[in-house]
Amino acid sequence: MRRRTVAGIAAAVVAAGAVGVVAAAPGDDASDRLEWTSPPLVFTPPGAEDARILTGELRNDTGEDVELRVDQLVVRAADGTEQDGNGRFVQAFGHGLYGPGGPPAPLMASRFDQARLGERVTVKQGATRPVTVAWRHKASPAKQLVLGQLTLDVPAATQP
Amino acid sequence: MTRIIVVLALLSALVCGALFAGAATAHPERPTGFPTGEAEVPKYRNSGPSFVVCKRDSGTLLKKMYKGKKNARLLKKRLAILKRCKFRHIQSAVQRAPSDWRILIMPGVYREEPSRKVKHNDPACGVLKDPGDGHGAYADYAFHLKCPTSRNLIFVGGDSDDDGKCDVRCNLQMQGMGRKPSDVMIVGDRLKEDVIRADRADGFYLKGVHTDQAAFNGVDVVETNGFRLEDLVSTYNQNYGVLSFTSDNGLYQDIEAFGNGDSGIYPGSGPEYHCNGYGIEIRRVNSYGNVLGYSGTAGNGTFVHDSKFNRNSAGISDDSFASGHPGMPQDCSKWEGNEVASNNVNFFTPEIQQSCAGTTFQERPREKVCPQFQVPVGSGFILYGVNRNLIQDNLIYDNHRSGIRLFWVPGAIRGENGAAAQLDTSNGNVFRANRMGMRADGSAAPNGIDVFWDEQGSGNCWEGNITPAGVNALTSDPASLPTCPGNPVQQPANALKSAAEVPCASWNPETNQNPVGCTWFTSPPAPAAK
Repeated sequence: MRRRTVAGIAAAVVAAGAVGVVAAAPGDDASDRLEWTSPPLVFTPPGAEDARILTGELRNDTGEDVELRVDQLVVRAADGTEQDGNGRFVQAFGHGLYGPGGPPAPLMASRFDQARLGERVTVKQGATRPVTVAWRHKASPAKQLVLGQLTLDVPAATQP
Repeated sequence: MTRIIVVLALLSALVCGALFAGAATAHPERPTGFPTGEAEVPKYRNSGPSFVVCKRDSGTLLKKMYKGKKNARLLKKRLAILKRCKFRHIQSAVQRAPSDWRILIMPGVYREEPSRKVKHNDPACGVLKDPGDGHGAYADYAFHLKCPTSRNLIFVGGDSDDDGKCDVRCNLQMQGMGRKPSDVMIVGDRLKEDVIRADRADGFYLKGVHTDQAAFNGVDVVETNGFRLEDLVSTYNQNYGVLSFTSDNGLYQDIEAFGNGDSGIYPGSGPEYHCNGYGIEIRRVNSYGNVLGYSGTAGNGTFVHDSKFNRNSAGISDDSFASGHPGMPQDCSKWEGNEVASNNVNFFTPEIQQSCAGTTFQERPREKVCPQFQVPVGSGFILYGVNRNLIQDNLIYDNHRSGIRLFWVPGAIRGENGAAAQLDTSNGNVFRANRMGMRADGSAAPNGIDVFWDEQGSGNCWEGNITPAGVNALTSDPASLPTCPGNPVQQPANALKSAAEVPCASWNPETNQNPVGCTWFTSPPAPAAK
């Protein structure tokens, strides 16, 4: 139980730290300057009908390098609520080096591992990066992918 | 108060941007290289200088196991050897053994109490390093040299001066003297990583022992040229039963592995023969009741045959996922004449995962298996990012999800960002003359689907595979599979298939046991019930 408590606190601290990162990133007027290079795919994964997965490639047109982190990834529904989900800045499955006890907590691996596994990536101005996000589907459909203070539109499902 | 101090220390470390250091959260292997120079799989020696290790009850145990007239001669021999016993602990004999000696281990239970008394990860032995380059925090060889038992119960270190060459304890033969491996039981303390670690120990031969309860690996052979692991049992280790890493000229033979939280056997970072031979042979292994029967990140140059990988969560995995493993991307192994069946044991149920979370390995019941890696439950072969492998004449049946999964892994995931590396995996794999969805007697035992492929790569092909419905009648997605030599033109991955697996990367046994969108941990229905 103590381990869980500490892990929870650690996650909170990381999130708090993330605010600083975002504040140093492009300002409010930078919203919508992440663009899809082509419409992303949104589909229902076979065997998980209550979930939706989005996969696509984003391009950084903010005018600055941006750092994207999975703990800042939020899927916002049309009614404004946030959906329970997960994401990676990759297009295919991968995993890290797990020692005794299994994987490290999110965003606790080395920066190298965080980057290669798509947990935390720096996208240079004009560069592209894949992103894959899954969320629990609710009555109000997903509308927006929020990445800190940046956003991307989520299109309606392109696959049944 | 203690909790407050711990939390403050944690906050301080995080705010400073320091690593959340500790062996529990990173791969503990140091950067290694493949051994060089000629070597052979060591041959069995039944003569030559030796030390004898025994327990107080070894004589009694010998008399019990060699009862009766027909065993009298053998018993007499064993008792004569027992008279030469001068050691109660295996590590004591290892430390004193010169090269080319044998260590004969009499029946008994070996807990290696002197090794247990050595502090785990004692800072006086050296500092665990994490250069942040993907290797994770590790103990270097000098650490083991200084403190052989700080992270191991038994350490066979062959390199006395850390110059990378074996110069002591080379060609060491360690042999249990019971009738079966479990007569010589070596029990881990559930804290130290390895029960037996052979490191730069060229010619290492281990035979006839049972290892159990390692916090990481039951048997671990690292940077060793020439090794033989034979007549072994390895059980209920937190991660791996029997493992080799950047080692060459090896043989795994007659090994039983079960109850391991990762894989029963793991020939990882296998030798780089690039399809000009095999450096490690694996035969007559029976690996069951693990999360994975077999796994090998960068499991190159390995010939696996006449073995059984049944009744795990998944049977056989080879991959190119991780950085820090020499030999990427994986290539050129062969599986032939194996049985890969009924890999439907689900160690990822909510009940199991919840009971594993929040408890350390030391705190858990001794025979509890807690998954250390995420796998698609119900799978036979799971091949992710592998090249030019040959899978032929195997029996692959009754895996409820899929018999064979073949997926691409872009190079960026192992930390290689060049354009060419993004397409350098999942090419040239040949699946030939396997019997799928049927038992040895020909009766039907379908896989959920015989082949599930992300459609990426070039030169992947299927020919002559047999099913109850006939030759080349595999059930597959895509519905049509290329015959050999396969499509020479590189094909892109099916983006939906690739993306559908990404949510499973968020699996974490403590913080996210069932990621949204990941379907791997739900037991697929038996195909007959569909």
